[in-house]
Amino acid sequence: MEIFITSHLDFVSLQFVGELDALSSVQADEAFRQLIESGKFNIHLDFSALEYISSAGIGVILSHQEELSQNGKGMVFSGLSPKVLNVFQLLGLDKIFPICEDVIQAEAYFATK
Amino acid sequence: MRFSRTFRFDLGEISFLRAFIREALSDLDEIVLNHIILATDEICTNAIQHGGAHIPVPVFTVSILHANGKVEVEITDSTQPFPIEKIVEVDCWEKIRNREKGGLGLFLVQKVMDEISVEAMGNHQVIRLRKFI
Repeated sequence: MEIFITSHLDFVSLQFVGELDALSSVQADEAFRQLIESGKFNIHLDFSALEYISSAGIGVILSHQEELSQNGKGMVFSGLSPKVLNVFQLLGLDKIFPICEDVIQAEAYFATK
Repeated sequence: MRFSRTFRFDLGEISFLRAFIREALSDLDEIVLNHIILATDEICTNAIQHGGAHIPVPVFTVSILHANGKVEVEITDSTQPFPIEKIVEVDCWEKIRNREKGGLGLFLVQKVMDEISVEAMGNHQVIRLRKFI
């Protein structure tokens, strides 16, 4: 899996390319940790090139939400494929996190926060 | 037709496991196929992470049969018996509050498969995951 980081005015986009599983979740965890340590608390997760996610990937994402929230910020997702969206729905994550179509909607979401 | 393949007890093998299932069940609907891949990934990842040290034979075998409106995945390894009784309902809000990374996998297996069973056979066990198509 590859992770691409793009800085915007009010938020940072993390684009995941490939499969986010137990092995690659270590890399995702490190990306989150670096962003949070550098004071980036508004995070857009671009899943448009994410082909697969397992519980390990989801666990890493959930484990960082509280810290973002405590800083008055949070995460927004976009580009979920039907199978990734289905996994989110099975866990009720679609009721917890905002899910957008794309980065433009994500930008509009963060502008209202 | 039954498809079988043996993998090393290594997280790096899990992507090959997913590819194997994708190839064996390529005629299935994308969501259903993903459920079977996800459940098998979670069981095997759990075994590698929690049962992989000091096992007599550091491999596991996955066998897939799609017939009569049912997919059955058999996972055979020599770890300790799979803790099927430990599968509990998960509250993701609680995971967020506690900043927990783990504890979702087996719950997901239960959500996406119709039947899960474990059979101890001598020094190894067979975990069977079934999904009715």
